[in-house]
Amino acid sequence: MIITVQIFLLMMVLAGVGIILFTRNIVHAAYALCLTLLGIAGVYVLVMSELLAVVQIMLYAGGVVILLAFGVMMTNRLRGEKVLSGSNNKWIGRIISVGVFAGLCYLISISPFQTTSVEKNEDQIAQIGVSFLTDHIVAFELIAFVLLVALVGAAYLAKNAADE
Amino acid sequence: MSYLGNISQGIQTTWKGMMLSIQYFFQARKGRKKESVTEDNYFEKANGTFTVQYPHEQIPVPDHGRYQLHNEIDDCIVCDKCAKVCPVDCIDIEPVRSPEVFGQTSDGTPLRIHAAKFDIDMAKCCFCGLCTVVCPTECLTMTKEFDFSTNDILDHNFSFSKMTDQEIAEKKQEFEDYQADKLKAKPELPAIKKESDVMKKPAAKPVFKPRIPKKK
Amino acid sequence: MISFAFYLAFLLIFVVFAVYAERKTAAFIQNRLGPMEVGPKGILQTVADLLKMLQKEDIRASAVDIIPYLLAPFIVFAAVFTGFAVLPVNADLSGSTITSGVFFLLAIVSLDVLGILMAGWASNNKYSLYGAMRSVAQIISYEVPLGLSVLCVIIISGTLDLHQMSVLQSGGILSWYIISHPVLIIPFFIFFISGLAESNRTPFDLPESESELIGGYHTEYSGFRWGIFMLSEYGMMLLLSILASILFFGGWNSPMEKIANGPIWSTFWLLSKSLLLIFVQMWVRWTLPRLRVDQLMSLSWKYLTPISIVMLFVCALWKLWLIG
Repeated sequence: MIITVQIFLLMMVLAGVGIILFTRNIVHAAYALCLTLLGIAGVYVLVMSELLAVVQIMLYAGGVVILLAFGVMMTNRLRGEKVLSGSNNKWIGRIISVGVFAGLCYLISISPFQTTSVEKNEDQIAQIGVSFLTDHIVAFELIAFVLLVALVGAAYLAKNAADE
Repeated sequence: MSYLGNISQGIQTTWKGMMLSIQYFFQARKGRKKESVTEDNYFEKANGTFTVQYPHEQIPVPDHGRYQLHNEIDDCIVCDKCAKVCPVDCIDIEPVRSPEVFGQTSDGTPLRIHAAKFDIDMAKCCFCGLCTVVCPTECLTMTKEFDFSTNDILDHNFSFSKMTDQEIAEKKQEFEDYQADKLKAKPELPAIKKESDVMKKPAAKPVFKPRIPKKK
Repeated sequence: MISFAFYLAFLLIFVVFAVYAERKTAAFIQNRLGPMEVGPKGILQTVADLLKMLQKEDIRASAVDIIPYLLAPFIVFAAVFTGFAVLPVNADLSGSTITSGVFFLLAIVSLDVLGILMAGWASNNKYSLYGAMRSVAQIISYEVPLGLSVLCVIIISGTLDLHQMSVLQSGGILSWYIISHPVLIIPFFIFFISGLAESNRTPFDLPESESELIGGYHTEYSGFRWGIFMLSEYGMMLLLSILASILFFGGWNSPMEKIANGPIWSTFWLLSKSLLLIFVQMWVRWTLPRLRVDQLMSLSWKYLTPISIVMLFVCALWKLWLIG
């Protein structure tokens, strides 16, 4: 059962990545990105990190990708042309991506990740909540502050556009 | 308007609208009474469902409504008045004269003309009712029947004549014979002038020159 | 797993009769009779419509972006229906026992925007795209007050698991959250209004406003695929109604403490509560006119969101001082 799910998630992630790499249609790429992110959310569930999976779905798949797709549609489609991405600097791009990939592989191989299976933690959400408000209170408040600034900034920009 | 005022107005108006529509929802238990337009409270039907499920139930139509035309052909003296008065020419009559009075209508008018054809094309009819007004024997009436839709528009042409083709031919022959007999009986009757006689002399040209007043 | 299968079957039957109920409600509010011909009192009208819809030709415009166009209805339906996974049916059938229950529900349901956007964009039609963009703007905006009002309940209950939440409300009508914690009355209304917006129902049906956008994002769809969109819309209504009855009205608990508590009875209670809420949704639909886009946004950002933030604060205080 679990191996089936693993294979399925692997296919999901790889299919998404493959489409992003080989399609020239940006909107398709955005949807493929969503597929990949959902696959990764599934991987989080498999490693007993349920809350992270849900956050991944909510923020990345549900939020970021939608804004991305929205942005792509709103910008280039006005003239009725298909939104295609060009491919420039192919060799430099290949070298950089192979380098980044190799670097990441090396970092992952030397990192002390936990490889044994973990017990499902029923109190996970409560623990994360408590640690947000105790150990990581500064980071938590900073994020809240940044979001507030973004909100006020967005409202200000929208107001100016409306006045003109 | 203030922020809180907006909220309270929003809640009040929504509440009012919701209460109104739920009243209608519960009033839908009552159906519409099948009352004729002649009833006094015909237009007071704000409550309850208004729909009439037409083929299954219908509202009675008034007796003097102007719907489908009907001709009681036995009473018709084929006077052609209806066809003449019709503004849209939807009545088509072919009379065949009879040598003698061959019957009587129910009000005692003698019948002298056979109706070889008495067609009313209801597809053309404008339901003005003029034909029923001029009808001397009151045989042409507008009935309460209003549902006479058909699949073919030609079926809207209602034929009221009862005569068969054979009968028509017979009656025509009868009248022609009668005419011929009449002509034989009165040979001294001056015959109609031949066309050649009429055309012999060309008509005199008008000898008239309009005077054009001279301008100074 | 069983609860999932239960909801799948229930949803399909529900949609057929909900469409009928919708038409009848509309008719009665408007002094009409509604469908009367097919079956007694027209009850089989939707079945007939369904049969007609399944036989229709699957029309595709030549300029559509074919893969997203074909996938979109199923993404919308999958997103909505996955939300049912965490809903309990009765005391014995608890749904998926994931700890982040209602949070998962809100997250996965928000993915239906993706399908709607896909449908609107792939249709290659300006009305579809307008509808899709309106829908995305609307759903993203109303997710904020929706999430915050759910959060109020979560503060009071202290759990995200919907089954656990229902268990906490057992013991008659007085222990339902909306009665035992009156502070939740305003969050309930916020939840209900945002839920209407999330499921694209009137007065928030701008994405598919048939009078101006010819159906919005599903303009280009016909037959079965269009049916899937309708199915998801009604599924969303049912999902949010069941969620509201679990969060505020005691879920599968009977209103009487000791009476009518068996598994069938508790299923009955849950479903009848949610069907009552669905009736209210229909009643709202045939009463209130559609909002303008700017009114829609100002309702969400100027009214519902600030009020729900205040209510979140009030609920936290309530929890701190009165429950402890």
